[in-house]
Amino acid sequence: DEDGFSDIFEFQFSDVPLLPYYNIQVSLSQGPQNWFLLSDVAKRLKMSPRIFRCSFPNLEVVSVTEAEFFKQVSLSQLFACQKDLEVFNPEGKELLDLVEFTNELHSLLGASLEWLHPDEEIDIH
Amino acid sequence: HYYRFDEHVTLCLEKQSTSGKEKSKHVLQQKYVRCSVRAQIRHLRRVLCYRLELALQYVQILFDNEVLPDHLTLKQLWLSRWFGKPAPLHLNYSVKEKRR
Repeated sequence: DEDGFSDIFEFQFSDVPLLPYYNIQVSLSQGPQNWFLLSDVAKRLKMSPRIFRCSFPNLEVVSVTEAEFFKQVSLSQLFACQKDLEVFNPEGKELLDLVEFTNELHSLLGASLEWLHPDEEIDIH
Repeated sequence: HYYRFDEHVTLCLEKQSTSGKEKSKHVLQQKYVRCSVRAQIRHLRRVLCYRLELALQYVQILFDNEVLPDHLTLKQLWLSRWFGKPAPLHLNYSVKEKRR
């Protein structure tokens, strides 16, 4: 990966609840990856989705149908809670916009990051 | 397979309640945490110790008053203790006092 951070653990810390990640495969040529819902991000930043996209044209935004989104997310064992999915319509034909996360976006959302190499020796002082 | 494409879990990490003057010491300011499902308790402990500026032997991570083993992955933890519940998963940490 071009940024070199892919084979280490990334830990995000925040003093407010983190916006959910959705692990979605958006095209056959790519594997699943983590996305935010654009509407979640815009709401947290108190912007309209349109203003958000104009302000951050460098962030990748993709669209999937609500039904496809629901299908993929509901397969996850981490989304076994009805409450986390009840706002989505399993047969929805509308498009949902997903936005990729970047370090810039994390800091806009008030999260701070730590990186850890999984196999590093444990240092006991 | 890279960790950043993994599913992630969200946690809420709070200090186990203690009394007295130690109460406000070593409290994590940013208590909401997210990381890969493949991270283990030992990884979380290391990051937590780094944040709290404490050595590793002083910090333990607990779920429901039970100390969690270092090699448990967060996916195993979620599925065994939190399946069907909403995010975030609530964990505690305890700080053992240094001997003077």
